[in-house]
Amino acid sequence: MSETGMTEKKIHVKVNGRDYDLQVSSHMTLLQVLKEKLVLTGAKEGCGMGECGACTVLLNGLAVNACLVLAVAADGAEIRTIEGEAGQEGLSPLQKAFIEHGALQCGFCTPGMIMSARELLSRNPNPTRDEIVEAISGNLCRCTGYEPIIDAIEAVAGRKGGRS
Amino acid sequence: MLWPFEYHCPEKREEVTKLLLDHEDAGILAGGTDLLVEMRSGARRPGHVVDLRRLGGLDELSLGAGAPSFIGSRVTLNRVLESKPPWKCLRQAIEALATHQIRNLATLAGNLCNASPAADCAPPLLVLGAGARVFSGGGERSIPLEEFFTGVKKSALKRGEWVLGVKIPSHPASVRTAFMKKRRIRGHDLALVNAAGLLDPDNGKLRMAVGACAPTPLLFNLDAQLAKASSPDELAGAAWAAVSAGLRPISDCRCCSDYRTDMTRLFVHRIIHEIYG
Repeated sequence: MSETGMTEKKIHVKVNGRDYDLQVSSHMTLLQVLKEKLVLTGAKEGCGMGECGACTVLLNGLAVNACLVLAVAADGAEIRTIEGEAGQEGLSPLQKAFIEHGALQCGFCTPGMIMSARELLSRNPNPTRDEIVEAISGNLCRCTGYEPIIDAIEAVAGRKGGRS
Repeated sequence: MLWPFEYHCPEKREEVTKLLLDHEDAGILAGGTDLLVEMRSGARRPGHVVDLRRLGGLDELSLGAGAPSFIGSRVTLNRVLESKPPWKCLRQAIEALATHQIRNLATLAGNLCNASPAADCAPPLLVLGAGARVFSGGGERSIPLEEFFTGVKKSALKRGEWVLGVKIPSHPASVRTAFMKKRRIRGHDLALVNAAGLLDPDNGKLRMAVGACAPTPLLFNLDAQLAKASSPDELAGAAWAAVSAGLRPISDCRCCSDYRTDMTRLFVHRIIHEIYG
């Protein structure tokens, strides 16, 4: 059914495998709803304009900037955030690799970096180093110089972890 | 924080038209990657946002070199890329546009409707002879892309009109194309200059298009120059003479006008050598 003239809307989303029915304002972004309604604070707001990638989440399997998605437009979507990365057995291989390779310092970019890497590995399990660079080119990091991050993703992709 | 607005998610095309006619301050949401940035910065404060996601037919994507192509207005740039468009210039432009995350949301039609002089998809689609399929109150009409851009962030769409998708005519398999973009950094940045070229040797056709050097992306018909040329250098020189006469570059926060002119000259030479050499 068409919906017209709404400033508040009920939406249904599945976040990290769990169903939520939420009442949201039409002008709230997906990032705001994740952080403020669901208290999933892993995705960060850096620029708020799709430049930095700190808010990257998976929307129906695709990496997107959650700051550029209206929550009302995500009705019915399946969302995955960094909070869904670790399983019952603990941290995921990606998370472990980030620690092992020193791929984070302040950690602000890390949730977004890992979600971008997660999407890359789901569509391309054996990426080249250039493909890894391309996949995280929308995620800014001001601490690491990127090399350890690329090493970590490369290690999980089944390649040798050292620098090429 | 975004300015409050009323959200509409119509299922019929006529409802979109009515909303646009009823509300002068309505904004269309396809991918949202321009709209939300402008709303966030305060450059736009639409009182109504019309989401196209429930309308049928806008996800249609048919690409082929030997037949006309159609890219619906909700088709994202990454979907176009994954479908392997047969024209190198379009692939190169999409790969150079923003970031992977943005391309997962942003649409090809949206890149045109935003009508930025620097829109990366404008030069390749101009040289390919693309057009916008437009829904207006009385039905549908087509606008050739060379008539679509009328100024900075302005298009030939009339009040109440909106874009159903982008049409690209068929081209012979022998067509050669190329796209180049100059930006300040390798990553996410708008074009200082972008340019595309298309050579159709079977039909004696040469087109070049240049972005970010005038209030609108520019298209140049260089068939006459192609007919007279006997070497790539000669053709590049003649092409530059025609292109440079149409440029009106400005100096802004990204670079000065002289730099834009110099880069365009370089791109014209490189593109001609790539597709003609």
